[in-house]
Amino acid sequence: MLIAASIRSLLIAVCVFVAVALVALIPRTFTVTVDPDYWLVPDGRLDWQAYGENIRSFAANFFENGSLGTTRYGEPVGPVVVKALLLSLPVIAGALSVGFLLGIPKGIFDYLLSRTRFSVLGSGTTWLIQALPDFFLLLVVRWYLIHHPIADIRFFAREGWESLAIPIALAAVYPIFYIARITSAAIASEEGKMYVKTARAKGMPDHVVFSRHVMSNAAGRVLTHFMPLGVYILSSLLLIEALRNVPGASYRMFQAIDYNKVTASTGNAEPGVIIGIAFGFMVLVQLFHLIGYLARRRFSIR
Amino acid sequence: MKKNVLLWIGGGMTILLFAIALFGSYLPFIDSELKEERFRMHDGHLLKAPYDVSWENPLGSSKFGVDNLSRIVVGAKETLLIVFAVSLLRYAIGIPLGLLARRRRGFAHALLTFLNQLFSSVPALLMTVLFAAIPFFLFSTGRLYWMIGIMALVEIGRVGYIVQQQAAALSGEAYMEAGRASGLRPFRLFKAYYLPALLPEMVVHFCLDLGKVLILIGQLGVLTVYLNPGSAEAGMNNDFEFVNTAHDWGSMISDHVPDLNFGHFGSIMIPVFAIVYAVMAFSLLGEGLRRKFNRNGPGA
Repeated sequence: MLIAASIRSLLIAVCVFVAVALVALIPRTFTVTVDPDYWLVPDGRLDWQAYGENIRSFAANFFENGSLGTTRYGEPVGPVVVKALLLSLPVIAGALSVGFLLGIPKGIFDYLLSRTRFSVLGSGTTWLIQALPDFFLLLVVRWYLIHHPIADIRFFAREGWESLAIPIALAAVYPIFYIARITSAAIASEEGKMYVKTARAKGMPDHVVFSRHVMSNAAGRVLTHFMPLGVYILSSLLLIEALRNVPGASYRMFQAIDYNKVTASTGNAEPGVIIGIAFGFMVLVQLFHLIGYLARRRFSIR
Repeated sequence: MKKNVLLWIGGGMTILLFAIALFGSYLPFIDSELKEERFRMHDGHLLKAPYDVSWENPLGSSKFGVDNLSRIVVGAKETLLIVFAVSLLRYAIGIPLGLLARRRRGFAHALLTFLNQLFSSVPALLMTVLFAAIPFFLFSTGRLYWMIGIMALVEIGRVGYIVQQQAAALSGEAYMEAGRASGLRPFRLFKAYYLPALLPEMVVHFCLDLGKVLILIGQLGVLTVYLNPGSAEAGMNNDFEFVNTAHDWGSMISDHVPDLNFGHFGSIMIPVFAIVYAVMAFSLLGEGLRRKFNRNGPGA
């Protein structure tokens, strides 16, 4: 039963990967005609011949030479993809860790406040900040650090502590407040349960009840959100990297997609990079899944 | 009874937003034709666009002299239409798909799982840009509609998943069993049993989804992925550049992204603030509705 389920999810993962590859390999050629009024009329209809040729040559290259092709600069794709992923990985790991390390205490704090009349300060601020669009915070931070430099912090740093601290701080904002919300809700629902009341009635000190019973069960609930948070961070990473001009995994893929307003330059699409990074993302997401699952198992044994 | 503050604030903000979108163009100080005014005489001095904040331009003007406040107001209708189109499409397809998949087996469930996996392995934003770059969509005249479809498609999995979970939970209820035992056809079961029970949650999620779509539009704007690039202007050598003729807020952001390279943040923050306001309005409304439905209990 378990084996059937894992085979099925593996099959779906393969289908997904093939679907992404097929979309990435669509040829970017288009024809332009001039109509009688001298307007340029572009035509982007799919050229099936070219598409088939793209797929065939890519597959041949992949299965025979084990390579994903070359980037627009002529380098082999493999090392470029690995480099891009390695640039992003510390930021993702940092943002996830900071998210949980700061989010859980904030959630506990929110819950404790919610029973007083200052509850707005707790869950109110949490809700407000996680409802804001991420690009808003990004633009404000970029504006502020450029126009009012504090202590020589460089927004666009590529090495030094700022190169990690700034993107991690930016990427961790939403996770912190999202986890705070989840934690607060999980604690609230655990507190109402019978075993907690029993423990309290039996005279167990409050903090022991809290840490031994409430928190460990709530922790299991909170950790189910590890994977969706990881995926969210991958998504928000695109804007952070784009605005800081860092070719991490997300932004490098965006560059490889080569969406361009000035269409003369759409010769730069790199399907190999897109496919390579997409594969990297899938592996990462499976890793998040695994970590979340293991962490949950460790906590909900009791 | 404790007043539902969130609902009042959210409702008020949303109504104001709709009022601006529908009637704003008719206000006397709004230039609904969005005329360009590249030069202006003021006190005997010749001024060149962009103009500073003044009584004539309460929020300043663009590089071509179009009043920013007018542009925001005129663009509100376009933006809201796009947002509603995307959300409605998501739910129109997501709800039936989720309902059909409630037993967690069969074709609908496989399709839903596939869609969810597809758009969670590669982040939604990147998938949207990947689809948007395909020449068939990029150069078609109906590009805006394709983009609406793409933006809707990318999150259908999430909507369907939520509906599936809730429908699965509902299936176990006694009155559902009664309905099935009476021999009701699936369609009637959906219409008379599932939908009324799911409706409150769906309304809340729909409001929050409006906010999410608007955030997506804003993100695409920052990445200069235009939703509706407008006419093409010829360059040399048979190439051409899209010239933006749309006024939705996402396109406004894209128009001003080059200003960031010169350190001019003022012009880009205007549409950004408009988006933040609208997102807050929808989120507050959604949260307010959620509190209201939770207070009244299920079956409201």
